[in-house]
Amino acid sequence: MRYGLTICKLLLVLAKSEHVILDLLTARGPCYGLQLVDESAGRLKRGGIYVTLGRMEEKGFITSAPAEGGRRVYEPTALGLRALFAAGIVLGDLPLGAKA
Amino acid sequence: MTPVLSRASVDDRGSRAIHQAMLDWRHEASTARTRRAAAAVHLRSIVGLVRVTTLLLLEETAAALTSGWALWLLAWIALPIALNHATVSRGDAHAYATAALADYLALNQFVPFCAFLAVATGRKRSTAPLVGLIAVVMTVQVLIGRLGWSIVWHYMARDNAAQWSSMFLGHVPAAVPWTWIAVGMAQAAALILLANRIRTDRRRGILLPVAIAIWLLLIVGAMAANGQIFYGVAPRDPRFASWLWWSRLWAHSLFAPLITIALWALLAWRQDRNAT
Repeated sequence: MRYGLTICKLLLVLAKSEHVILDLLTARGPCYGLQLVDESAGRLKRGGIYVTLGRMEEKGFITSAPAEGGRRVYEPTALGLRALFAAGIVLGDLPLGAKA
Repeated sequence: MTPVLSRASVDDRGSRAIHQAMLDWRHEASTARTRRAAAAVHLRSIVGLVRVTTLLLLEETAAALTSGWALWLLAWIALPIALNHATVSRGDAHAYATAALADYLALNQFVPFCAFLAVATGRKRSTAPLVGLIAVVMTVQVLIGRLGWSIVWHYMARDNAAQWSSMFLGHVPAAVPWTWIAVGMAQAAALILLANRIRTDRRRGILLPVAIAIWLLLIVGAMAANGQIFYGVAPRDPRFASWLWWSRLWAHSLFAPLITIALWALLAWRQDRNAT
């Protein structure tokens, strides 16, 4: 029951765009913001990407580090991966036995 | 001005988002191979930057609002419009057009004022992006005041020339003067300065219902004085209609902010006196 509540909480704080970003970061490894927009096939917009990334950093789902030219590279944290995993179970994207 | 300036900063997350968007712009522009591609990059980046800034302003402003002040904001916009239409007889096209114009004025006057009020008194007062908001509001004010009004004036005068000219000519200028805009900005600056001095929630809590009550009394009083509430129709005498229109405008847009400012000043003064 408690575990179920935790999943619900995670889903509540994981917006659709955040789900897409975590998905892309997990599949492709560390990325620039613009790279995420390019690879999202129109699901992410360049006008909103950094606002969303900033919000996700505040929530602790991703972390970033400065790279070439001051641009930041983003990668998921353990909490972000768990949130994505929990969302995957509930949405039916992942089998229940899979590990994050 | 120091207290205002110290609060007028975009928070870290916002400034980082804008900074990253600008770095992307520079990076993309430097890697573009043709002039056409570079132009497309510039265009896309400008649109993206505008969207980031707008999104941040909206998000930060929403985060800065308290529920009480959000209600106040809605009341300032919704109530005058509701009152305008509730008291207008449907068959009277002339009165209906007057109410429509009053709606326009209510939106023009109240949206920037409410934004200032809500941000100045909201929860996240230290991080509200006031500078950006002030810039946006000033631009919108100037555009609406200078251009919007002229357009409304042009179409209304063209479609209902006889009615509108008898009612407004000689009373309302065809373009809003810069002095009005300056007064509006000064009013907002005074609000921010004073809001900064009212620090306790209890005092701000008192201010809200008192200001709303006085504001309602002023509107109802102005309308009752003109006989509109008792007769339920707009007067047909153009001179009377003009007076009614002016009293509405004043009650809505001038008295209430002035009284709010006066109350705020009084509370600030009392707070200072108690502190010493």
